[in-house]
Order: sequence, then structure tokens, then C-alpha cells
Amino acid sequence: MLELHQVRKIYPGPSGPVTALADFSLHVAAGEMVAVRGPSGAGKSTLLLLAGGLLSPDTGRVIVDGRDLFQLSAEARADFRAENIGFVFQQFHLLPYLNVRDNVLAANLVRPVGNAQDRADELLSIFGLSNRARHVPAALSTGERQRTALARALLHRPRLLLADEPTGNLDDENGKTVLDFLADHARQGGTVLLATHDARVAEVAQRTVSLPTTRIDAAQLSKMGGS
Amino acid sequence: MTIGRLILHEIAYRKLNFAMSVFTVTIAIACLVAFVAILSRHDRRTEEIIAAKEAQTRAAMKALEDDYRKITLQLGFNLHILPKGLDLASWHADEDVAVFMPEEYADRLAKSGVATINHVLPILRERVTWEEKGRPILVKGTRGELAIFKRQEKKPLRDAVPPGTVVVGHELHRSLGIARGDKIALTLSRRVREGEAEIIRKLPTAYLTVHKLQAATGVREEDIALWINLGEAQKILQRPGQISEILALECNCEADRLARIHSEISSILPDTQIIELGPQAQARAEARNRAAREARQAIKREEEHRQELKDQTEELAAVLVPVVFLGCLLGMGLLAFQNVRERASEIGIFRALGMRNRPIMAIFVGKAVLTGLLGALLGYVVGTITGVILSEAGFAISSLFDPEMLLLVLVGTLLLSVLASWFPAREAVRQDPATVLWEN
Repeated sequence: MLELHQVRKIYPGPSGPVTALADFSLHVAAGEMVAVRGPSGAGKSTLLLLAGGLLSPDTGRVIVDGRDLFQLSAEARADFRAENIGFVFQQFHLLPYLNVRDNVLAANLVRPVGNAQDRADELLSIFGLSNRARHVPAALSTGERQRTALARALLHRPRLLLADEPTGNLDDENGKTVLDFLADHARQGGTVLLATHDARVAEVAQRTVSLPTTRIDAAQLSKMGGS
Repeated sequence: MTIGRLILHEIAYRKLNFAMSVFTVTIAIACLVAFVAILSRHDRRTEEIIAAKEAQTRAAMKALEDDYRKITLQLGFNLHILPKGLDLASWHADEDVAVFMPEEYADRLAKSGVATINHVLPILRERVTWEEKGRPILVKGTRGELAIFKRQEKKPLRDAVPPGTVVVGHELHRSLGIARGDKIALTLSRRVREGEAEIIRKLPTAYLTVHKLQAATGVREEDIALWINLGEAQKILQRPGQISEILALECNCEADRLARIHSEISSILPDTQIIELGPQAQARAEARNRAAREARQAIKREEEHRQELKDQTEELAAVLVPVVFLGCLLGMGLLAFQNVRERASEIGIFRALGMRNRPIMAIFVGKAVLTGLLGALLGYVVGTITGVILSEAGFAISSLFDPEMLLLVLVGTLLLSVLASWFPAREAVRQDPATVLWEN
């Protein structure tokens, strides 16, 4: 379902370029739930953005469901993302002026489907947000915001779900609910790629991928034969 | 969820940004509408002033005309239409001339609707001797002025004399002690040349009642005249169906006056000739033309003054309105840019959800359009009221609604809003979603 081939991503930094991912390859099968672990700055978020086609790699290929994302036009990539990929961000990125229910339904603004209202209510119920449906994000706890972001990502049952620390802000009970749901999503054929520090995730994920503990500077990269 | 609903939610959330944008547009539109309202009021006021001036001038002209009519009444008629065979040298020498024309000429002239003259008065005039008093007099028979076809009837310069009565000239009633209501015997005689000899022929006596005594005019023609009914005069003077002249008052023709009169009357009455009493006619024409000229100049002066005021206001508007508009455009643009910056992570979310460029632009442009339309409506109302107040005109509800102006303002503001928000919106879609999601 998701293939990353020799993907490299370098960011400019104040003391020279910093490599977030160096010739990284990964294959995640459909229905698989993979956890990506590593310390802060190891490139977990970069990996998710690359996998979602929001960030283009300097070299290498990102293939989702057989489609090389960066061979597609920007508009085609956006359509592909709307149809196949769900994102959950570490900072939630909820729309501050919409209530919980409308935030979940925001995905429907991009790709409208007929049963979106029912699906939204179902997700709110699963994540224990039904009684908070009319509240705006500012009135929610951190955990509630995280669950709202997750519900939004799942509205269209994406084939690939990319989640950045989905349980990082949740208590044990809520964290378990979310992880169970993600596992269930994978069991139903969805592919889940999680970036996490949470040890509990490893118990649920079928596989865990660890990223290097330190970033590589330009000189090290040169020794590796990179540009 | 729709884009429209999303925009409304966002507006409700960022009220200050929206209020400032609306305020900016309101000020710009209010300035424009107020200027237009002031100019429009100015034009309307000018029309009122000019209309008042014209009415004033018309009244003055009418008064002048009336004054002149009275003066003319004293001066008498200024046109004599005479039989063609009449020797004008003898006529000017005030000699007796027995050349007449049919009374029907006067009727024909009146019925023709002649345009170049007024006050058609047929007269039978003859110099005779009043035997009872032994006095040379002028007998003038008249039936009063004839109504000209299709022309409004004017107050006559000379009234008809009722049958059986006589109007006595000043010198005659003064010197002979004639009073109004007196019954007088009127036996007239005229000198007639028969071969080499000149004989005096007496005419049948008529008995008439003095109807009116004329005031002194200083004009011999008037002061020694007896005015009697035309039919009776024809009978007494034994000139049945005949008149000696038609008196008239010429119309006010500015250029080539006499030629036009001649031309018209000759075509109606070919067997006549016309004498114009120059000074009276000239004075009349000059007085009327001068008055008309002065009236036109007064109106022109007022129009020039009003135009000068309008030019000044337009000059001010020509500078101020574009400045205000540019300010508005800049203000809206800056606020739109600020809005884009504030909503960077939102744009990232939309990108992550798979939104294309066009709907993202629509979110920003749509908000700007809504801002513009609301600002335009408010600006229109504020500007109109301001314009009404500043132009010191009376407040009229109807002046609050000018559909054309409103449409112009709405369409103009729509374009302005799109223009001001286009570049910020384009900037929004160009943002790298990964960067904004990461940084926010």
C-alpha cells in the first residue's frame, strides 16, 4: 500500500543543511499498522508528510496504492489525498471557528459524500465526543481535540491513515480507545502509519520502525555518497 | 458544510478583522457616494435656480410686455395697410385721398392666421367738416379689432364703438363743451372736385350719443377725431363696404422685420401697401430684444457661476476619490494578507484534506466579496445621508435610493474586493502546506 524508496529529505538550517531522512525505504502492506519510533527531530513528522504527499522528497519515490505521488500533478495529488489519505497532526490543527461536529465534517467540504453526517455522529460517539459536538476547539481539553482530529481524519475511511503522536495527549483510557480504533481500522483493510513515542503503540502495531537517534549533517551525508 | 458556511463561521470568529475591512470599504464608498450626492444636489439646485431665474425673467418680460402694450396703446398702431392705388406722397402730406379698399380685406387678413402682425383694425377714415360746429374733423369708423385665426385673443388697443354712439377726440369735446351722454347731430360735408371746380357736398345727418370722451394724446389724428361704428360711418360717408386702411401692430421679429411683414401681407392682400411707423416699431422691437438679451445674459451668468462651483467640487472629487479608493484597495489588500497569515495552518489543513487551489482561493475571495458588498451597502447609505447633509438640501427619503448608483457601487465594490483579495488568496494557495503545518 505504501512504499518509500530511497527517500531523502534535507532542510536548510542556520548552520548548514540538515538531513531529516537519508535514503530511507519502507514498505507497508494494506491492512498493516506500523509504528515509527524515534526521538524528537528524528524525522518522524517528515516521514508522514512525505507519505501523505504534502512534502516532496529531494530524491527517492513515494508510492501509495501503486501511484507515485510526485509524478502526479499538484491537483491530482490533492484529489488522491482527499480520496485515500487521512492525517492526524500532533498539533491537531482544528479549525478554531468550527464546532467539533463541523470540524469532523470539514473533510466533507473537500470530498462530499452522502452519509457524512451519520458517519460524523458515529465517530463522535466512538470517541466519546457526542456531548461536545457543539463546542469549539478552544472549549475542549487536549485529549478531546486529539480525538476530534482523529475523527476528522477517519470520516472518509481513508485507505492510508497517517497519525503523528495520536495518543501523545491522551490518558490511558482514551489512548486505548484510539489505538483500538486504529487497529480495528487496519483490520478492516486500512493501512496505518503512526509516528509515536508511546510504548503502548508498539503493543498494538504489527511492526515498529525505528528512526536514527541523531540527524545527519551535510559532511556525514557526503561520506554516505549523497549530495 | 459548505464554503459559504465556512466563510460565515470564520467571519463570526474573527469579528475585528471583518469589522475593520467593512469599515474600510464603508468609508471609501461613503466618500464616493457623498461626492456624487453633492454633485447631483448641486445640479438639481442649479436647475431650480435657473428655473426660478427663468420664471423671474418670464414674469419681468411679461411685465415689460404689458408696460409696452400700454405705451403702444398710447402710441397707437405702428403699421398701416393701405390700398395699393393710394398715392403715398399725398397720404404723408395728410391730403384728402379718396382711395379705398373692400372691408372684406380685413376679414381675409384675420382669417388667414397671419403671423407677423397683431391687432387687425379695419378703419374708414375721412377728413370732413362738421357742419353744425363748423369744424374740420376726422371721422373714423371702426368695428373693433378682428380676432386672428388660431391666435389667442389679445386685449384690444382700440375698442369697437357701439352702434348709435360716438367717441369724441379731446380737442373737440374740450373746445365744444361736449359731455358724455350728450346727443349730437352730425351733419358732415366733404369737398369734391368736379372738373375744374371744387364743390362742397353735404352728407345725411346722423344722431349719435356721446359714448366716451378721449383723453388728450397730442396727436392730431386722435384729438380732432370722431370715432363711430364702421357700418354707420360707411352709411354716413356713403362708402358702403369700404375701408380706407387696416391698422395693425407688428409682431416682434428681430431680423429683417419689415421684409417679412411685407412678404406675408402681400401674399394675402396683393392689392395693398404697407407703411411702418418707424420709431414706434423700432422702440418696441429694441425694448423687447434688449429685455430678452438681458434675461438670457442673467441666466447665462448664473449658469456660469454654478458651473464654476461644480468644477471646483469635481476637481476636489477627482483628487480625493481616487486617493480614497487606492487607500481602500490597499487597506483591503493588507487586511486580506493579514487574514491569510493568520490562517496559514488552516490552509495547511485544507491541503492535507486534499483541497484544490480553487476552493482555497474561493474561501478568501468569497470573504472579501462579502466584506465588499456589506461595506458598499453601508457606505451607500452613509454617503447618501452625508451628501444630503453637506449639500444643505432638504432631506428627502427618495434621495436615499438611486438604483443606478447602488448598482454601480455594488458592482464596483465587487470588482475592487476581488482585486484586493486576489493576490493574498493566490499567496495562500502557494504556501507550502508542510511548512505551515510544521511551523504552526
